[in-house]
Amino acid sequence: MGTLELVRASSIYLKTAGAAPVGALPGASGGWGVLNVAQDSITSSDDADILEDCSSGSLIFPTLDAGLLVASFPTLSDSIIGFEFATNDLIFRLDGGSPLKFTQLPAGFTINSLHIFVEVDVLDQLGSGTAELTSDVVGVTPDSTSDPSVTLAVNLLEAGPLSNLDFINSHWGLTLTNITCSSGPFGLGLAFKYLITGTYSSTTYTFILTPPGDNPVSPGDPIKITSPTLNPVTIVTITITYPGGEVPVPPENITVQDPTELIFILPDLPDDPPIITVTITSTEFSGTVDAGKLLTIFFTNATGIYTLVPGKTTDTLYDNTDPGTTVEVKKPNPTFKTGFIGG
Amino acid sequence: MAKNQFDGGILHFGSVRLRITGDGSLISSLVSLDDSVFYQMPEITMLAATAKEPLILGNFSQQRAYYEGHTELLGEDFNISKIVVFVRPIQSGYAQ
Repeated sequence: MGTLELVRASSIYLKTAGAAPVGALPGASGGWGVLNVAQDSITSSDDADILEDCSSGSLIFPTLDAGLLVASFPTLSDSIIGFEFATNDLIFRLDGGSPLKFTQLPAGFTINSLHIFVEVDVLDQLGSGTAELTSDVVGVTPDSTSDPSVTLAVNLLEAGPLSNLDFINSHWGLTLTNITCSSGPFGLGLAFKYLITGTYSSTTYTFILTPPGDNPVSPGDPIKITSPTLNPVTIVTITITYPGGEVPVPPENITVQDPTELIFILPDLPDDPPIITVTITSTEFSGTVDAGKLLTIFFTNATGIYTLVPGKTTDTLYDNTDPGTTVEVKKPNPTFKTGFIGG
Repeated sequence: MAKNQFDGGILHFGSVRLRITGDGSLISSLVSLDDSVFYQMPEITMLAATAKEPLILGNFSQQRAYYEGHTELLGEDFNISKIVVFVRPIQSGYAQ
């Protein structure tokens, strides 16, 4: 298990019920608009600051020119700030390493937990007033405060049966609702910084095909695996391993890959192993194997290419009881006979 | 072509002499037409090198027969360079 951070949102949206927010894209009116905001590439020291602030309750928002995120609004009501994380952006940072795209995630990547930390500061540009912020993060019971500096800590896993991959692929993000500011007529400045961090693990699901079975298969036969949660966008690699070697299944051998079914053609194997293991590695995969129907590989003893060796008085066979070894067996009763004698 | 005077006659297969080397035991027999009757010859133990050509005694009477031999155990082998089957006509044939 390692640490995961979503280091940078691909886009940040503001949705208002009325006029387009300041900084929205040209033409935007009520509804979603892309905030023209500055985002800082959060450094580890920033992360530490945020976490420390959140844990200590001492929330001191830094200066705005820290470049984290600054937007200015007129008076707002019932607005939402949403984050979008695009799969083709460098949004993941694992164990403090360099940011990665979704496609660069390690095989078996699975989000175990994800927390969102937000520091928000609502600044009156002119005049005085109060600001109230409530939050509603993908179904979690809202938090609220009248403190203009607010920290929200939300664990997405508490948000219900959301797929962590859906979080990415469906552009789920942090949503803050009911940003209500009652200040002077000149609007507010809203600044906040955010940190999304959690843990991840790399999960590999291995299906062991154990002989002897009732339905042996041979190279060229299809093997089907079903899963109720197989994600079609995940990167799937299949490897055939056996005592003494392994063979990757070429991508062209994967004939079907959809959300619930995976079918591949068993490739040729250099030996005739009686027992093989099929390892399927993907970003997210769990499910069941068709019991006993297609997933039993069983090769009987085979001589392979018969080689005549002068003076050799035995036959050499591969031993399916001890894969990778051979066994000497007697030739079937070497026999001679004459022709018929007699008139 | 003159017809063999013993054509169809009954032969007595009395022995077989072999020039044989090898390893293990040779199991041999005499077998009649259609493999319907056979006579088990005594086993002989083969040697890798020998100055002797063993004579295997038999007692088998048939109109026609062949001699066959084989080994049955792992690693046994044989090398035969000569087979002499001793026969003698004893009867002219079977009565109808």
